[in-house]
Amino acid sequence: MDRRTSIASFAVGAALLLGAPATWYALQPADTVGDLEVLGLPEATPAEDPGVADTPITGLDAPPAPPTDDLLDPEAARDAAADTTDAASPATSLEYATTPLSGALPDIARPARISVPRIGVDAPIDPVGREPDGAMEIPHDIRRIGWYEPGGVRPGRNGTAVLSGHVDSRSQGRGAFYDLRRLDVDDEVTITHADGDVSTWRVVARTSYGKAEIPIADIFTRSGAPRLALITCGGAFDASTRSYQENVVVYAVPAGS
Amino acid sequence: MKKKLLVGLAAAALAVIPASAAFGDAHDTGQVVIVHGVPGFEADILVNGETSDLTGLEFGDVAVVDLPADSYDLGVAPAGSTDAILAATADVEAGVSYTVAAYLDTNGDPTLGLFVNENDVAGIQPFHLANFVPVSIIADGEIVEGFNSVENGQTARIAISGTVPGVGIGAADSNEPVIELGDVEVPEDQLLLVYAIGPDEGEELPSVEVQAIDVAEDHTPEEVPSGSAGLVSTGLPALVVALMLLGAVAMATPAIAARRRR
Repeated sequence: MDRRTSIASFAVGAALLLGAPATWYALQPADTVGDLEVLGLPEATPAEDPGVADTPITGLDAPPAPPTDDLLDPEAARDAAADTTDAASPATSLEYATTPLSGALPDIARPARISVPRIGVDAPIDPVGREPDGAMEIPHDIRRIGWYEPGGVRPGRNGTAVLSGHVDSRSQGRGAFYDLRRLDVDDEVTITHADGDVSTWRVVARTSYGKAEIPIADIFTRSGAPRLALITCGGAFDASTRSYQENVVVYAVPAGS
Repeated sequence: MKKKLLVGLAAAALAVIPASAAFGDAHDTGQVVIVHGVPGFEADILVNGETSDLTGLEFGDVAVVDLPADSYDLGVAPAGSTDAILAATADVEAGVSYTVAAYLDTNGDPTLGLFVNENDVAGIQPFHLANFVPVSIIADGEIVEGFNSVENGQTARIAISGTVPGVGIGAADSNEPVIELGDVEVPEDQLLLVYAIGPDEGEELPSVEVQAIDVAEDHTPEEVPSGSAGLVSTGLPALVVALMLLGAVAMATPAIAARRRR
């Protein structure tokens, strides 16, 4: 092997060693797009499950007007206000959480079909529940999408309607949500309801949660403004358990909002 | 002039039909709380056009029924009749609790409304179902946050348990109760549905009915498993690893060749 060939071989080898993974990573979509905070959702590594706290515990914000006496003394007024912001200190402050006011249930039929033009999804929707082990049931046919029925959140009613589909399957190949990780802010999602009505949604965020960190209680909520959560699997694949280590979640809101 | 009405909550709770002890199998039934909030007539509840077991309901009556998950045509008819004067379709989902209320809207017209009872957690869920001005919900001398102006046809839930002192209903943005409910005890496993309905004939203020329902079992799943092939794995795919190996071999080849020649 002459010197020139040696150098060329070494250079090509180095380029492959460094360039292959770098190119591959560069082609992967970003883990998070859009603003989760605006949605009141935790970032990819969320804090502890807030449980029932749909809104912050009262007393943390909007302190009541100070007593009239204090108006003459701005410093005392500030102190008084500061006192009420500390939920633990005032004996009169009750601890509670509230949901937003809502009216009668809007007349919305179950979701029957989902279309996401940008990633070529046009799939029928099946109502699903829970597997015996507690996991969300996903339609066995990977071309179909599951709508989580327990809790009864239909797309357009208060709370988050959860739609989940396979990213892939060992026996069937690519699933309906294969390209969910490529969705971006402002992409369009349409839901055809069982009565033929069509609702249009706009993607506002996409992120990826570790399976242990996914904020289940925040996602599967019956409270708050209408929202869609499209979920599939992603992240690194653990071949020994035949499962992915993350969930890709896309959030969408009614297109008009 | 402010007229005060003291409603003994215990008495109100006794006056309603008790919730069925067991919620049945939450996997295939839903719960419906029926409220008769239109004064002046005795009502029969029709299900899919036929008279149900719920007949002769008086203004203020509240009944709780478990129904298999399905779509129902509900109707309210004058007692003894099958001609519904109010009708609505109720899609009952498994594990969900609903309020179906015949009530007066702000024009004083009877209407039939379907609401979700937010029984994920213990607490109090007030419903403004009275032909009455917007109100505030008060607890312990203060307006409950977010409940400063609740309008006819609106509801929301306050997640709280234990003793809630000084619960009342006031005019919008006022923390002075016009209707006092006193101290309310919220059990850890129950949601108190508080319905303001009416006013009854000859009354100025709405009536208040309270119905306790059990907190639903948690409806959320443990996880969302949705892939088993690893096609989109963000771990390095085999092709990339192979290219990297090839690169390493190419880098090492000249050195190995040089050693061999020696």
